[in-house]
Amino acid sequence: MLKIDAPQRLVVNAESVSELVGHDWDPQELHLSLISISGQVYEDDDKFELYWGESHE
Amino acid sequence: MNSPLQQPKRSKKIGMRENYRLMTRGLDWDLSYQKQEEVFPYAEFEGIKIHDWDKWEDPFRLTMDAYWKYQSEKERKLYAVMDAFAQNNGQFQVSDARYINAAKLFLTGITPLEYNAHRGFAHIGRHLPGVGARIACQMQSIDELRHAQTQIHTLSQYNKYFNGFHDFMHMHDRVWYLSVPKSFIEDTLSAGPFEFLTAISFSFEYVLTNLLFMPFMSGAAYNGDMATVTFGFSAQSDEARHMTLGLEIIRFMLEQDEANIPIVQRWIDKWFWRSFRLLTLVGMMMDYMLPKRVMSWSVAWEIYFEEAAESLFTDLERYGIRRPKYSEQATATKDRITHEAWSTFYQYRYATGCLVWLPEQNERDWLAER
Repeated sequence: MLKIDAPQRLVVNAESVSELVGHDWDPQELHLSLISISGQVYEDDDKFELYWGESHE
Repeated sequence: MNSPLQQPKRSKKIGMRENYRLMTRGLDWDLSYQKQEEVFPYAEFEGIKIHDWDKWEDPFRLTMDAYWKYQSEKERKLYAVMDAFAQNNGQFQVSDARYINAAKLFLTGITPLEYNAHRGFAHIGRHLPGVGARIACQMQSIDELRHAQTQIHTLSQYNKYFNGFHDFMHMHDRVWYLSVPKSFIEDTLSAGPFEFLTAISFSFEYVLTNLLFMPFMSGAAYNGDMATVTFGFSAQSDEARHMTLGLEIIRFMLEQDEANIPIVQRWIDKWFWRSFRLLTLVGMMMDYMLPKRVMSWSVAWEIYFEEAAESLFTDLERYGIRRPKYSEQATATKDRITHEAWSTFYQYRYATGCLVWLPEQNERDWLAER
C-alpha cells in the first residue's frame, strides 16, 4: 500500500507512465490498483487528475 | 523487448470522452404513450430538482466494455490468491485463533450490507431518469454483488474449520448488535433514490468507507489472513470509483438547483450520524479483536475522518454545505466509544455471534498508551 499526498492537485500523465513501464499505459488501468482517493477526479486519455477547487483546468 | 529504438507510441483510438458520450448518451427515448411520472414514480417526491440529466458525468468515464475488462482481471487475481490460501491451509496460519472472530464480525455485519447495497443500486438504477446515472448505478450494483459473493467465498474456507460462520444472514437479521448495520442499510433502501445516493455513495462511501476497509484489511494483513486482504483490496479498488461517484452526486444535486441545498445538507447530517454509529463495531474490532494491532480507532478517526473531512468540507463550502451536524460530538467519542462497546459485548457475551474476552496485560498497556 502506498499513499501519495499532494497539495490541491495531483496529476498522473499517461505518457510519463508509458515511458517508465515500457508499454502503452491507459489511465483506466488505475482501476485495478487504486483503493482510495480524496478529491475530485478528472480523467481522459492522457492523464489522471485529482484536485480540489473549481475545475481541473 | 523494448529497446530505445522501439519506444512504444501511445496509440490513439477513439478518445475516452467520446467513447463515454457514445456509450452513455442517447440510449433512451422520449415517452409517448406513458407519463414520465408514472414510469419514474420516485424521481420527484423527495423535492430534489434536476433540470439537465446530461450534466451528470462519471469522472472516470467508465463504460461497460472497459468495466468488464477490469473487473474480470480483478477476479482472476483474487481467485488465484484464494486457491493458494486454501491449498496452504491459510486458516491455520493466522496470528492467533482470536482473529477468526473479526472475520465473523465482518461476515455477519458487513457482507449483508454489500448484498443489500447491490439491491439498492439495482432499484435506483431503474428509477433515476438520467441515463448516465443509471449506468453508474448498474455498475455499482454489480460491484456490490461481487463484493458480497467474494467475501462469502473467501470466508467459506474458515467455515470448514471453525464454528460460527454458518447462517450469517440469519444472524444478521436477529443478533442484537447486528441490528445497527441492518437498520442502517434497510433505512437507506426504504429512502428515495436521491437520499439513498447521499447515504451510501456520499456519507458512507466518500466520508467514511476508509474507516471500514483500511482497518479491516490492514488488520487482516497484520494477522496473516492473506485471503481477506485480497478480497478487501479487490473490493476497495471498486470503492475508489464509488467514492468519486459519491462526490460527483453531491455536486450534481447542488449545482442543479439551489432548492436542493437544504435537503442535501439534512441528509448529510442524518447519514453521517448513522454511519458513525455503525462504525463503532469496526472501531471495537480494531482496538480489541485483532491479536496484532494496526492502529487504534482514535488514530484512524483522526487520519480518515478529521483530516480527510477538512479538505472535503472546505471544498463544499462554496455550495453552502457545512460539516455534518454533530461531527464534533462524534470526534469527542473517539477515545472511549470502542471501550464502551467492548464492555457491553463482554457483559452480553452469551448472546454474541463471536467470542469475547478480557484483554491481556500487554493489550491493556497498548490501549493505555493511546
